[in-house]
Amino acid sequence: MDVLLNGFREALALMAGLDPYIISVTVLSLKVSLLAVAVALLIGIPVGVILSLADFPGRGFIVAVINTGMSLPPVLAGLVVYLFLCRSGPLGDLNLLYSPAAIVIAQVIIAVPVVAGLTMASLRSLDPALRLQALGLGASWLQCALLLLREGRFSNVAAVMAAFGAVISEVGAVMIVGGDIKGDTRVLTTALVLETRMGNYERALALGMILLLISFAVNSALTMLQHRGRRE
Amino acid sequence: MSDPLLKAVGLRWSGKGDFVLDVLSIEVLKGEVLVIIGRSGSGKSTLLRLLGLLEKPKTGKVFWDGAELSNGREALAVRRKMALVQQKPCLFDMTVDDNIAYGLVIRGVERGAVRKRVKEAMELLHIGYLSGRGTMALSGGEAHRVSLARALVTDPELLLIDEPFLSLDHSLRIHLRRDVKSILREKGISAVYITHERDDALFMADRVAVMSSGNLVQIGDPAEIFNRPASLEVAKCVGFETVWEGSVEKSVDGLLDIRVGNTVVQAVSDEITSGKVFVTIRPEEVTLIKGGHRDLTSARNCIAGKVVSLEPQTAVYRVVVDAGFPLVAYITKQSSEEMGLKAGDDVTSTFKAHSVHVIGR
Repeated sequence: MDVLLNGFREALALMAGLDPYIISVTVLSLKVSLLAVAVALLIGIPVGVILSLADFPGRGFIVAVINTGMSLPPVLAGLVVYLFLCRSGPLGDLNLLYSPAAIVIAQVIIAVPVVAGLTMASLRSLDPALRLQALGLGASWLQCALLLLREGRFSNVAAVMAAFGAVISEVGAVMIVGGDIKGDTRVLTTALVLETRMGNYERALALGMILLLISFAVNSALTMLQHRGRRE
Repeated sequence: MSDPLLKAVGLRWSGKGDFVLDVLSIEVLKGEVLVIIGRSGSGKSTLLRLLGLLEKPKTGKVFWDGAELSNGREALAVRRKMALVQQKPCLFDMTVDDNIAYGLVIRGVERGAVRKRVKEAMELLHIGYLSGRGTMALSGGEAHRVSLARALVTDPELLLIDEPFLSLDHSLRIHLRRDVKSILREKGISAVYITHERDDALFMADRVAVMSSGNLVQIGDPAEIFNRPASLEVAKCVGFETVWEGSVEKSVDGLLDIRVGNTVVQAVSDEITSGKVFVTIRPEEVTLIKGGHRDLTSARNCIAGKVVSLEPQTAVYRVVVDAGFPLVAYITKQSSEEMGLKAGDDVTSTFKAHSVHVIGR
Protein backbone atom coordinates (compact mmCIF):
# COMPACT_ATOMS: atom_id res chain seq x y z
CA MET A 1 0.00 0.00 0.00
CA ASP A 2 2.87 2.32 0.85
CA VAL A 3 4.40 1.85 -2.53
CA LEU A 4 1.15 2.83 -4.18
CA LEU A 5 0.61 5.90 -2.03
CA ASN A 6 4.21 7.05 -2.28
CA GLY A 7 4.19 6.28 -5.94
CA PHE A 8 1.11 8.35 -6.41
CA ARG A 9 2.59 11.28 -4.52
CA GLU A 10 5.89 11.11 -6.39
CA ALA A 11 4.12 10.72 -9.71
CA LEU A 12 2.19 13.93 -9.07
CA ALA A 13 5.40 15.70 -8.09
CA LEU A 14 7.17 14.50 -11.25
CA MET A 15 4.36 15.63 -13.44
CA ALA A 16 3.91 18.93 -11.63
CA GLY A 17 7.65 19.56 -11.81
CA LEU A 18 7.62 18.96 -15.58
CA ASP A 19 10.44 16.44 -15.31
CA PRO A 20 12.32 16.81 -18.66
CA TYR A 21 12.86 13.07 -19.06
CA ILE A 22 9.20 12.28 -18.58
CA ILE A 23 8.16 15.10 -20.87
CA SER A 24 10.43 13.95 -23.69
CA VAL A 25 9.12 10.38 -23.40
CA THR A 26 5.52 11.62 -23.39
CA VAL A 27 6.04 13.89 -26.37
CA LEU A 28 7.59 11.09 -28.41
CA SER A 29 4.76 8.72 -27.49
CA LEU A 30 2.18 11.25 -28.64
CA LYS A 31 4.08 12.07 -31.82
CA VAL A 32 4.48 8.51 -33.06
CA SER A 33 1.02 7.37 -32.00
CA LEU A 34 -0.83 10.31 -33.52
CA LEU A 35 1.17 10.04 -36.73
CA ALA A 36 0.54 6.29 -36.88
CA VAL A 37 -3.21 6.77 -36.32
CA ALA A 38 -3.34 9.49 -39.00
CA VAL A 39 -1.62 7.24 -41.53
CA ALA A 40 -3.81 4.30 -40.53
CA LEU A 41 -6.95 6.41 -41.08
CA LEU A 42 -5.72 7.50 -44.51
CA ILE A 43 -5.29 3.88 -45.52
CA GLY A 44 -7.96 2.15 -43.45
CA ILE A 45 -10.98 4.36 -44.15
CA PRO A 46 -10.85 4.11 -47.97
CA VAL A 47 -10.25 0.37 -47.68
CA GLY A 48 -13.22 0.01 -45.33
CA VAL A 49 -15.41 2.12 -47.60
CA ILE A 50 -14.52 0.16 -50.72
CA LEU A 51 -15.04 -3.17 -48.99
CA SER A 52 -18.45 -2.14 -47.70
CA LEU A 53 -19.80 -0.52 -50.86
CA ALA A 54 -18.27 -2.41 -53.76
CA ASP A 55 -18.52 -6.03 -54.69
CA PHE A 56 -15.59 -7.52 -56.57
CA PRO A 57 -13.83 -10.86 -56.86
CA GLY A 58 -11.44 -11.40 -53.96
CA ARG A 59 -13.41 -9.17 -51.62
CA GLY A 60 -14.12 -12.04 -49.24
CA PHE A 61 -10.43 -12.85 -49.01
CA ILE A 62 -9.47 -9.27 -48.19
CA VAL A 63 -12.18 -9.12 -45.53
CA ALA A 64 -10.79 -12.32 -44.00
CA VAL A 65 -7.27 -10.85 -44.00
CA ILE A 66 -8.51 -7.71 -42.25
CA ASN A 67 -10.44 -9.67 -39.66
CA THR A 68 -7.34 -11.73 -38.95
CA GLY A 69 -5.31 -8.53 -38.78
CA MET A 70 -7.67 -7.14 -36.15
CA SER A 71 -6.80 -10.01 -33.84
CA LEU A 72 -3.15 -10.24 -34.89
CA PRO A 73 -0.79 -10.33 -31.89
CA PRO A 74 0.96 -6.94 -32.21
CA VAL A 75 4.27 -8.43 -31.16
CA LEU A 76 4.15 -10.55 -34.32
CA ALA A 77 3.65 -7.40 -36.39
CA GLY A 78 6.70 -6.05 -34.59
CA LEU A 79 8.73 -9.11 -35.46
CA VAL A 80 7.80 -8.93 -39.15
CA VAL A 81 8.65 -5.23 -39.35
CA TYR A 82 11.91 -6.01 -37.59
CA LEU A 83 12.79 -8.71 -40.11
CA PHE A 84 12.05 -6.34 -42.98
CA LEU A 85 14.05 -3.46 -41.52
CA CYS A 86 17.04 -5.28 -40.02
CA ARG A 87 20.36 -5.01 -41.78
CA SER A 88 19.95 -8.25 -43.75
CA GLY A 89 16.23 -7.64 -44.41
CA PRO A 90 14.74 -6.48 -47.74
CA LEU A 91 14.43 -2.89 -46.48
CA GLY A 92 17.62 -2.94 -44.45
CA ASP A 93 19.26 -0.28 -46.61
CA LEU A 94 16.76 2.31 -45.42
CA ASN A 95 18.42 2.22 -42.01
CA LEU A 96 15.13 2.64 -40.23
CA LEU A 97 15.48 0.02 -37.49
CA TYR A 98 15.56 1.48 -33.96
CA SER A 99 14.17 4.79 -35.18
CA PRO A 100 10.83 6.46 -34.40
CA ALA A 101 9.89 5.79 -38.04
CA ALA A 102 10.17 2.04 -37.39
CA ILE A 103 7.77 2.43 -34.47
CA VAL A 104 5.31 4.31 -36.66
CA ILE A 105 5.48 1.60 -39.33
CA ALA A 106 4.74 -1.16 -36.82
CA GLN A 107 1.90 0.83 -35.28
CA VAL A 108 0.37 1.55 -38.70
CA ILE A 109 0.38 -2.17 -39.47
CA ILE A 110 -1.36 -2.81 -36.16
CA ALA A 111 -3.92 -0.03 -36.61
CA VAL A 112 -4.91 -0.32 -40.30
CA PRO A 113 -6.92 -3.55 -39.90
CA VAL A 114 -8.68 -2.05 -36.87
CA VAL A 115 -9.68 1.09 -38.77
CA ALA A 116 -10.62 -0.74 -41.99
CA GLY A 117 -12.54 -3.48 -40.18
CA LEU A 118 -14.51 -1.14 -37.94
CA THR A 119 -15.24 1.31 -40.77
CA MET A 120 -16.53 -1.54 -42.89
CA ALA A 121 -18.70 -2.84 -40.05
CA SER A 122 -20.07 0.62 -39.37
CA LEU A 123 -21.03 1.27 -42.99
CA ARG A 124 -22.51 -2.17 -43.41
CA SER A 125 -24.74 -1.60 -40.41
CA LEU A 126 -26.31 1.47 -42.02
CA ASP A 127 -29.66 1.16 -43.78
CA PRO A 128 -28.94 0.27 -47.45
CA ALA A 129 -31.72 2.70 -48.38
CA LEU A 130 -29.42 5.56 -47.34
CA ARG A 131 -26.90 4.72 -50.04
CA LEU A 132 -29.66 4.48 -52.62
CA GLN A 133 -31.05 7.79 -51.42
CA ALA A 134 -27.74 9.63 -51.76
CA LEU A 135 -27.18 8.24 -55.26
CA GLY A 136 -30.82 8.93 -56.08
CA LEU A 137 -30.29 12.59 -55.28
CA GLY A 138 -27.36 12.77 -57.67
CA ALA A 139 -24.35 12.02 -55.46
CA SER A 140 -21.19 10.70 -57.08
CA TRP A 141 -19.71 7.57 -55.52
CA LEU A 142 -17.25 9.66 -53.52
CA GLN A 143 -19.98 12.02 -52.28
CA CYS A 144 -22.09 9.04 -51.37
CA ALA A 145 -19.22 7.49 -49.38
CA LEU A 146 -18.65 10.76 -47.53
CA LEU A 147 -22.33 10.99 -46.62
CA LEU A 148 -22.33 7.42 -45.34
CA LEU A 149 -19.19 8.05 -43.27
CA ARG A 150 -20.97 11.04 -41.79
CA GLU A 151 -24.12 9.01 -41.10
CA GLY A 152 -22.02 6.36 -39.37
CA ARG A 153 -19.84 8.83 -37.52
CA PHE A 154 -20.60 7.43 -34.07
CA SER A 155 -19.10 4.07 -34.93
CA ASN A 156 -16.41 5.64 -37.08
CA VAL A 157 -15.13 7.78 -34.23
CA ALA A 158 -15.16 4.64 -32.11
CA ALA A 159 -12.86 3.12 -34.73
CA VAL A 160 -10.43 6.01 -34.29
CA MET A 161 -10.53 5.54 -30.53
CA ALA A 162 -9.86 1.84 -30.86
CA ALA A 163 -6.95 2.46 -33.22
CA PHE A 164 -5.41 5.10 -30.96
CA GLY A 165 -5.88 2.88 -27.92
CA ALA A 166 -4.15 0.02 -29.70
CA VAL A 167 -1.08 2.02 -30.73
CA ILE A 168 -0.49 4.18 -27.65
CA SER A 169 -0.61 1.13 -25.38
CA GLU A 170 1.56 -1.11 -27.55
CA VAL A 171 4.73 -2.39 -25.85
CA GLY A 172 6.09 -5.52 -27.50
CA ALA A 173 6.22 -4.41 -31.12
CA VAL A 174 7.54 -0.98 -30.14
CA MET A 175 10.26 -2.59 -28.06
CA ILE A 176 11.37 -4.89 -30.89
CA VAL A 177 11.53 -2.33 -33.69
CA GLY A 178 12.35 0.77 -31.61
CA GLY A 179 14.79 -0.80 -29.20
CA ASP A 180 13.77 1.46 -26.28
CA ILE A 181 16.73 3.81 -26.80
CA LYS A 182 16.68 6.62 -24.27
CA GLY A 183 16.09 9.99 -25.86
CA ASP A 184 15.45 8.44 -29.24
CA THR A 185 12.86 5.66 -29.28
CA ARG A 186 11.82 5.37 -25.65
CA VAL A 187 8.08 5.86 -25.33
CA LEU A 188 5.74 5.78 -22.32
CA THR A 189 5.03 2.06 -22.41
CA THR A 190 8.63 0.90 -22.89
CA ALA A 191 9.81 3.39 -20.25
CA LEU A 192 7.19 2.06 -17.86
CA VAL A 193 8.46 -1.48 -18.33
CA LEU A 194 12.05 -0.37 -17.76
CA GLU A 195 11.33 1.66 -14.61
CA THR A 196 9.32 -1.23 -13.15
CA ARG A 197 12.19 -3.61 -13.77
CA MET A 198 14.61 -1.24 -12.09
CA GLY A 199 12.34 -0.96 -9.07
CA ASN A 200 11.49 2.70 -9.66
CA TYR A 201 7.82 2.11 -8.98
CA GLU A 202 7.08 5.81 -8.44
CA ARG A 203 8.37 6.73 -11.87
CA ALA A 204 6.61 3.74 -13.40
CA LEU A 205 3.36 4.83 -11.81
CA ALA A 206 3.84 8.39 -13.02
CA LEU A 207 4.26 7.09 -16.58
CA GLY A 208 1.17 4.93 -16.17
CA MET A 209 -0.88 7.89 -15.00
CA ILE A 210 0.26 9.93 -17.97
CA LEU A 211 -0.83 7.12 -20.30
CA LEU A 212 -4.22 7.13 -18.64
CA LEU A 213 -4.50 10.90 -18.89
CA ILE A 214 -3.66 10.87 -22.59
CA SER A 215 -6.22 8.17 -23.30
CA PHE A 216 -8.79 10.09 -21.33
CA ALA A 217 -8.04 13.38 -23.08
CA VAL A 218 -8.03 11.90 -26.56
CA ASN A 219 -11.24 9.94 -26.01
CA SER A 220 -12.98 12.98 -24.52
CA ALA A 221 -11.99 15.06 -27.52
CA LEU A 222 -13.25 12.39 -29.91
CA THR A 223 -16.50 11.98 -27.99
CA MET A 224 -17.11 15.70 -28.31
CA LEU A 225 -16.48 15.38 -32.02
CA GLN A 226 -18.95 12.52 -32.14
CA HIS A 227 -21.72 14.63 -30.70
CA ARG A 228 -21.03 17.73 -32.74
CA GLY A 229 -23.60 18.36 -35.45
CA ARG A 230 -26.01 15.87 -33.95
CA ARG A 231 -29.60 17.12 -33.90
CA GLU A 232 -32.42 15.74 -31.86
CA MET B 1 -46.34 14.39 -74.15
CA SER B 2 -44.79 12.53 -77.04
CA ASP B 3 -41.07 11.82 -77.11
CA PRO B 4 -39.61 9.38 -74.63
CA LEU B 5 -37.56 11.08 -71.92
CA LEU B 6 -36.09 7.85 -70.64
CA LYS B 7 -36.02 4.60 -72.51
CA ALA B 8 -34.57 1.24 -71.55
CA VAL B 9 -34.13 -1.68 -73.91
CA GLY B 10 -33.31 -5.31 -73.16
CA LEU B 11 -32.96 -4.86 -69.42
CA ARG B 12 -31.84 -7.99 -67.64
CA TRP B 13 -30.94 -8.16 -64.00
CA SER B 14 -30.55 -11.05 -61.62
CA GLY B 15 -30.37 -10.69 -57.90
CA LYS B 16 -29.59 -12.98 -55.06
CA GLY B 17 -31.71 -16.11 -55.16
CA ASP B 18 -33.39 -16.94 -58.45
CA PHE B 19 -35.19 -13.67 -59.13
CA VAL B 20 -34.59 -12.47 -62.65
CA LEU B 21 -35.87 -9.23 -64.11
CA ASP B 22 -36.34 -9.23 -67.84
CA VAL B 23 -37.89 -6.17 -69.47
CA LEU B 24 -37.69 -5.94 -73.25
CA SER B 25 -38.46 -2.29 -73.54
CA ILE B 26 -39.95 0.47 -71.46
CA GLU B 27 -40.33 4.19 -72.04
CA VAL B 28 -41.15 7.11 -69.84
CA LEU B 29 -42.64 9.86 -71.97
CA LYS B 30 -41.98 13.55 -71.43
CA GLY B 31 -44.40 15.02 -68.92
CA GLU B 32 -46.21 11.80 -68.09
CA VAL B 33 -46.70 9.98 -64.83
CA LEU B 34 -46.00 6.31 -65.46
CA VAL B 35 -47.40 4.21 -62.64
CA ILE B 36 -45.92 0.76 -62.10
CA ILE B 37 -48.14 -1.71 -60.30
CA GLY B 38 -47.63 -5.34 -59.38
CA ARG B 39 -47.56 -7.63 -56.39
CA SER B 40 -44.73 -7.44 -53.89
CA GLY B 41 -41.72 -9.29 -55.27
CA SER B 42 -42.77 -8.66 -58.87
CA GLY B 43 -39.73 -6.48 -59.52
CA LYS B 44 -41.32 -3.02 -59.44
CA SER B 45 -38.66 -1.51 -57.20
CA THR B 46 -35.84 -3.21 -59.05
CA LEU B 47 -37.13 -1.79 -62.32
CA LEU B 48 -37.28 1.66 -60.73
CA ARG B 49 -33.68 1.35 -59.53
CA LEU B 50 -32.53 0.22 -62.97
CA LEU B 51 -34.34 3.12 -64.65
CA GLY B 52 -32.81 5.48 -62.09
CA LEU B 53 -29.31 4.17 -62.93
CA LEU B 54 -28.94 3.20 -59.28
CA GLU B 55 -28.33 -0.42 -60.10
CA LYS B 56 -26.31 -1.88 -62.93
CA PRO B 57 -28.23 -4.26 -65.19
CA LYS B 58 -26.55 -7.41 -66.47
CA THR B 59 -27.42 -6.37 -69.98
CA GLY B 60 -29.45 -3.57 -71.45
CA LYS B 61 -29.21 -0.07 -72.78
CA VAL B 62 -30.62 3.10 -71.34
CA PHE B 63 -31.37 6.18 -73.44
CA TRP B 64 -31.96 9.65 -72.07
CA ASP B 65 -33.72 12.02 -74.43
CA GLY B 66 -32.77 9.77 -77.34
CA ALA B 67 -29.06 9.48 -76.52
CA GLU B 68 -27.58 6.24 -75.26
CA LEU B 69 -25.67 6.43 -71.99
CA SER B 70 -22.30 4.84 -72.50
CA ASN B 71 -20.12 5.77 -69.55
CA GLY B 72 -20.16 6.63 -65.86
CA ARG B 73 -19.80 10.36 -66.43
CA GLU B 74 -22.87 10.48 -68.66
CA ALA B 75 -24.73 8.31 -66.17
CA LEU B 76 -23.91 10.71 -63.33
CA ALA B 77 -25.04 13.66 -65.43
CA VAL B 78 -28.36 11.92 -66.09
CA ARG B 79 -28.72 10.83 -62.46
CA ARG B 80 -28.52 14.52 -61.65
CA LYS B 81 -31.59 15.15 -63.80
CA MET B 82 -33.56 12.65 -61.73
CA ALA B 83 -34.50 12.46 -58.07
CA LEU B 84 -35.58 9.59 -55.88
CA VAL B 85 -38.28 9.47 -53.23
CA GLN B 86 -38.37 6.18 -51.36
CA GLN B 87 -41.01 4.39 -49.36
CA LYS B 88 -39.26 5.41 -46.15
CA PRO B 89 -38.43 9.12 -46.08
CA CYS B 90 -34.80 8.11 -45.46
CA LEU B 91 -33.71 11.45 -44.03
CA PHE B 92 -30.07 12.06 -43.23
CA ASP B 93 -28.92 12.78 -39.69
CA MET B 94 -28.80 16.57 -40.15
CA THR B 95 -31.25 19.44 -39.96
CA VAL B 96 -34.34 19.59 -42.17
CA ASP B 97 -32.74 22.46 -44.12
CA ASP B 98 -29.47 20.58 -44.66
CA ASN B 99 -31.40 17.51 -45.78
CA ILE B 100 -33.24 19.50 -48.42
CA ALA B 101 -30.04 21.30 -49.41
CA TYR B 102 -28.12 18.04 -49.99
CA GLY B 103 -28.83 17.64 -53.69
CA LEU B 104 -27.82 21.25 -54.34
CA VAL B 105 -24.67 21.11 -52.21
CA ILE B 106 -23.33 18.05 -54.02
CA ARG B 107 -23.99 19.81 -57.33
CA GLY B 108 -21.80 22.66 -56.14
CA VAL B 109 -24.59 25.25 -56.14
CA GLU B 110 -23.47 28.51 -54.56
CA ARG B 111 -24.45 29.06 -50.90
CA GLY B 112 -26.88 31.94 -51.30
CA ALA B 113 -28.75 30.18 -54.10
CA VAL B 114 -28.96 27.02 -51.99
CA ARG B 115 -30.59 28.92 -49.14
CA LYS B 116 -33.10 30.56 -51.48
CA ARG B 117 -34.05 27.34 -53.27
CA VAL B 118 -34.35 25.36 -50.03
CA LYS B 119 -36.74 28.01 -48.74
CA GLU B 120 -38.81 27.80 -51.93
CA ALA B 121 -38.94 24.01 -51.79
CA MET B 122 -40.10 24.12 -48.18
CA GLU B 123 -42.85 26.55 -49.09
CA LEU B 124 -43.89 24.38 -52.03
CA LEU B 125 -44.44 21.46 -49.65
CA HIS B 126 -45.95 23.68 -46.92
CA ILE B 127 -43.19 22.91 -44.40
CA GLY B 128 -41.66 26.34 -43.94
CA TYR B 129 -42.30 26.00 -40.20
CA LEU B 130 -39.83 23.07 -40.01
CA SER B 131 -36.84 25.27 -40.84
CA GLY B 132 -33.96 24.77 -38.40
CA ARG B 133 -35.44 21.62 -36.88
CA GLY B 134 -33.77 18.24 -36.60
CA THR B 135 -35.30 15.19 -38.24
CA MET B 136 -35.80 13.01 -35.17
CA ALA B 137 -39.03 14.54 -33.91
CA LEU B 138 -40.82 14.88 -37.27
CA SER B 139 -44.20 13.22 -37.76
CA GLY B 140 -44.58 10.69 -40.57
CA GLY B 141 -46.31 13.18 -42.85
CA GLU B 142 -43.70 15.87 -42.18
CA ALA B 143 -40.83 13.47 -42.87
CA HIS B 144 -42.38 12.53 -46.22
CA ARG B 145 -42.78 16.19 -47.12
CA VAL B 146 -39.12 16.82 -46.29
CA SER B 147 -38.16 13.85 -48.47
CA LEU B 148 -40.25 15.26 -51.33
CA ALA B 149 -38.81 18.75 -50.90
CA ARG B 150 -35.30 17.28 -50.92
CA ALA B 151 -36.02 15.59 -54.25
CA LEU B 152 -37.84 18.52 -55.86
CA VAL B 153 -35.34 21.21 -54.84
CA THR B 154 -32.98 20.10 -57.61
CA ASP B 155 -35.65 20.75 -60.29
CA PRO B 156 -35.53 17.17 -61.59
CA GLU B 157 -36.84 16.32 -65.03
CA LEU B 158 -37.82 12.87 -63.82
CA LEU B 159 -39.01 12.02 -60.33
CA LEU B 160 -38.73 8.40 -59.20
CA ILE B 161 -41.24 7.59 -56.48
CA ASP B 162 -41.23 4.18 -54.82
CA GLU B 163 -44.42 3.24 -52.91
CA PRO B 164 -44.61 6.57 -51.17
CA PHE B 165 -46.70 7.33 -48.13
CA LEU B 166 -47.34 3.63 -47.49
CA SER B 167 -47.10 4.06 -43.75
CA LEU B 168 -49.29 7.16 -43.59
CA ASP B 169 -52.92 7.17 -42.60
CA HIS B 170 -55.53 7.43 -45.29
CA SER B 171 -56.39 11.14 -45.19
CA LEU B 172 -52.73 12.21 -45.00
CA ARG B 173 -51.96 10.02 -47.98
CA ILE B 174 -54.75 11.52 -50.04
CA HIS B 175 -53.56 15.01 -49.17
CA LEU B 176 -49.95 14.28 -50.05
CA ARG B 177 -50.63 12.60 -53.34
CA ARG B 178 -52.89 15.45 -54.39
CA ASP B 179 -50.05 17.87 -53.64
CA VAL B 180 -47.56 15.71 -55.52
CA LYS B 181 -49.78 15.46 -58.56
CA SER B 182 -50.38 19.19 -58.75
CA ILE B 183 -46.66 19.93 -58.34
CA LEU B 184 -45.78 17.48 -61.12
CA ARG B 185 -48.39 19.03 -63.43
CA GLU B 186 -47.45 22.60 -62.60
CA LYS B 187 -43.74 22.08 -63.15
CA GLY B 188 -44.09 19.62 -66.02
CA ILE B 189 -42.04 16.98 -64.24
CA SER B 190 -42.24 13.41 -65.52
CA ALA B 191 -42.48 10.67 -62.95
CA VAL B 192 -42.23 6.94 -62.46
CA TYR B 193 -44.51 6.10 -59.57
CA ILE B 194 -44.67 2.71 -57.92
CA THR B 195 -47.69 1.69 -55.91
CA HIS B 196 -49.85 -1.30 -55.21
CA GLU B 197 -52.86 0.79 -54.24
CA ARG B 198 -55.40 0.83 -57.06
CA ASP B 199 -56.73 4.21 -55.96
CA ASP B 200 -53.23 5.64 -56.08
CA ALA B 201 -52.64 4.29 -59.57
CA LEU B 202 -55.93 5.61 -60.93
CA PHE B 203 -55.39 8.99 -59.36
CA MET B 204 -51.81 9.50 -60.49
CA ALA B 205 -51.39 7.65 -63.75
CA ASP B 206 -51.20 8.87 -67.32
CA ARG B 207 -50.12 5.33 -68.18
CA VAL B 208 -49.90 2.18 -66.14
CA ALA B 209 -47.33 -0.60 -66.41
CA VAL B 210 -47.94 -3.96 -64.76
CA MET B 211 -45.04 -6.05 -63.50
CA SER B 212 -45.28 -9.74 -62.69
CA SER B 213 -42.45 -12.14 -61.81
CA GLY B 214 -39.83 -9.80 -63.18
CA ASN B 215 -41.61 -9.17 -66.47
CA LEU B 216 -43.49 -6.22 -67.83
CA VAL B 217 -46.80 -7.91 -68.67
CA GLN B 218 -48.93 -5.01 -69.83
CA ILE B 219 -48.54 -1.30 -70.36
CA GLY B 220 -51.16 1.18 -71.49
CA ASP B 221 -53.60 3.84 -70.43
CA PRO B 222 -55.29 3.25 -67.08
CA ALA B 223 -58.76 2.52 -68.49
CA GLU B 224 -57.35 -0.20 -70.72
CA ILE B 225 -55.34 -1.83 -67.94
CA PHE B 226 -58.12 -1.67 -65.37
CA ASN B 227 -61.03 -2.63 -67.63
CA ARG B 228 -59.44 -4.90 -70.20
CA PRO B 229 -56.50 -6.67 -68.54
CA ALA B 230 -54.65 -8.78 -71.09
CA SER B 231 -53.97 -11.73 -68.83
CA LEU B 232 -55.17 -13.39 -65.68
CA GLU B 233 -52.13 -12.06 -63.81
CA VAL B 234 -53.01 -8.50 -64.70
CA ALA B 235 -56.69 -9.07 -63.98
CA LYS B 236 -55.92 -10.26 -60.44
CA CYS B 237 -53.55 -7.37 -60.02
CA VAL B 238 -56.16 -4.76 -60.89
CA GLY B 239 -58.96 -6.13 -58.73
CA PHE B 240 -60.86 -8.83 -60.63
CA GLU B 241 -61.42 -11.08 -57.62
CA THR B 242 -63.79 -13.61 -59.14
CA VAL B 243 -62.16 -15.92 -61.68
CA TRP B 244 -63.88 -18.93 -63.27
CA GLU B 245 -62.73 -21.32 -65.89
CA GLY B 246 -65.23 -21.83 -68.70
CA SER B 247 -65.59 -22.52 -72.38
CA VAL B 248 -67.40 -20.52 -75.03
CA GLU B 249 -70.53 -22.29 -76.30
CA LYS B 250 -71.93 -19.66 -78.62
CA SER B 251 -70.86 -16.32 -79.98
CA VAL B 252 -73.20 -13.88 -81.70
CA ASP B 253 -72.09 -10.34 -82.54
CA GLY B 254 -69.64 -10.20 -79.66
CA LEU B 255 -72.14 -11.60 -77.14
CA LEU B 256 -70.83 -14.84 -75.72
CA ASP B 257 -72.51 -17.72 -73.93
CA ILE B 258 -69.88 -19.28 -71.71
CA ARG B 259 -70.41 -22.50 -69.82
CA VAL B 260 -69.11 -22.36 -66.26
CA GLY B 261 -69.92 -25.50 -64.28
CA ASN B 262 -73.68 -26.02 -64.59
CA THR B 263 -74.40 -22.42 -65.46
CA VAL B 264 -74.16 -20.34 -68.58
CA VAL B 265 -72.68 -16.87 -68.16
CA GLN B 266 -73.22 -14.19 -70.78
CA ALA B 267 -70.38 -11.89 -71.57
CA VAL B 268 -69.31 -9.28 -74.12
CA SER B 269 -65.98 -9.51 -75.86
CA ASP B 270 -64.49 -7.93 -78.98
CA GLU B 271 -61.67 -10.36 -79.29
CA ILE B 272 -62.74 -13.79 -78.15
CA THR B 273 -65.27 -15.91 -80.04
CA SER B 274 -64.50 -19.48 -79.01
CA GLY B 275 -62.40 -21.80 -76.92
CA LYS B 276 -61.50 -22.12 -73.28
CA VAL B 277 -61.53 -18.90 -71.31
CA PHE B 278 -61.19 -17.30 -67.91
CA VAL B 279 -64.30 -15.42 -66.87
CA THR B 280 -63.51 -12.57 -64.49
CA ILE B 281 -65.72 -10.11 -62.63
CA ARG B 282 -64.98 -7.25 -60.28
CA PRO B 283 -66.73 -7.59 -56.91
CA GLU B 284 -68.20 -4.08 -57.22
CA GLU B 285 -69.99 -5.06 -60.47
CA VAL B 286 -72.03 -7.78 -58.77
CA THR B 287 -75.42 -7.00 -57.20
CA LEU B 288 -76.93 -9.37 -54.65
CA ILE B 289 -80.65 -9.97 -54.21
CA LYS B 290 -81.89 -11.96 -51.26
CA GLY B 291 -83.78 -15.14 -52.19
CA GLY B 292 -84.37 -16.56 -55.61
CA HIS B 293 -85.96 -13.67 -57.59
CA ARG B 294 -84.72 -14.39 -61.02
CA ASP B 295 -86.81 -11.97 -63.02
CA LEU B 296 -86.55 -8.72 -61.09
CA THR B 297 -83.53 -7.47 -62.92
CA SER B 298 -82.51 -6.47 -66.39
CA ALA B 299 -79.03 -7.86 -65.93
CA ARG B 300 -78.11 -10.63 -68.31
CA ASN B 301 -76.72 -12.88 -65.63
CA CYS B 302 -78.61 -14.17 -62.60
CA ILE B 303 -76.92 -16.90 -60.61
CA ALA B 304 -78.39 -18.55 -57.51
CA GLY B 305 -76.13 -19.34 -54.58
CA LYS B 306 -75.61 -19.30 -50.83
CA VAL B 307 -73.73 -16.69 -48.78
CA VAL B 308 -70.55 -18.21 -47.40
CA SER B 309 -69.19 -15.23 -45.49
CA LEU B 310 -69.55 -11.49 -44.96
CA GLU B 311 -66.44 -9.47 -44.17
CA PRO B 312 -66.73 -5.83 -43.18
CA GLN B 313 -64.37 -3.48 -45.07
CA THR B 314 -63.94 0.31 -45.08
CA ALA B 315 -67.02 1.24 -47.09
CA VAL B 316 -68.50 -2.10 -48.07
CA TYR B 317 -69.10 -5.68 -47.07
CA ARG B 318 -67.11 -8.26 -48.98
CA VAL B 319 -69.52 -11.14 -49.53
CA VAL B 320 -68.36 -14.55 -50.68
CA VAL B 321 -71.11 -16.53 -52.40
CA ASP B 322 -71.07 -20.20 -53.30
CA ALA B 323 -72.82 -20.57 -56.66
CA GLY B 324 -71.32 -23.93 -57.44
CA PHE B 325 -68.13 -21.91 -57.84
CA PRO B 326 -66.93 -19.05 -55.64
CA LEU B 327 -68.13 -15.53 -56.43
CA VAL B 328 -67.13 -12.33 -54.63
CA ALA B 329 -69.40 -9.30 -54.35
CA TYR B 330 -69.17 -5.94 -52.60
CA ILE B 331 -72.37 -4.54 -51.17
CA THR B 332 -72.79 -1.29 -49.30
CA LYS B 333 -73.28 -1.43 -45.57
CA GLN B 334 -76.67 0.16 -46.03
CA SER B 335 -78.02 -2.44 -48.42
CA SER B 336 -76.57 -5.21 -46.32
CA GLU B 337 -78.52 -3.91 -43.34
CA GLU B 338 -81.70 -3.51 -45.38
CA MET B 339 -81.44 -7.08 -46.64
CA GLY B 340 -80.35 -8.46 -43.27
CA LEU B 341 -77.92 -10.70 -45.10
CA LYS B 342 -76.07 -13.39 -43.16
CA ALA B 343 -74.05 -16.51 -43.89
CA GLY B 344 -76.18 -19.40 -45.19
CA ASP B 345 -78.80 -17.15 -46.86
CA ASP B 346 -79.97 -17.91 -50.40
CA VAL B 347 -79.05 -15.07 -52.76
CA THR B 348 -79.21 -14.29 -56.43
CA SER B 349 -76.05 -12.72 -57.85
CA THR B 350 -76.69 -10.52 -60.87
CA PHE B 351 -74.28 -8.74 -63.17
CA LYS B 352 -74.30 -7.33 -66.68
CA ALA B 353 -72.73 -9.06 -69.62
CA HIS B 354 -70.64 -5.91 -70.06
CA SER B 355 -69.18 -6.32 -66.56
CA VAL B 356 -67.73 -9.70 -67.39
CA HIS B 357 -64.20 -9.63 -68.71
CA VAL B 358 -63.15 -12.65 -70.74
CA ILE B 359 -59.52 -13.70 -71.10
CA GLY B 360 -58.35 -16.55 -73.32
CA ARG B 361 -56.58 -19.45 -71.65
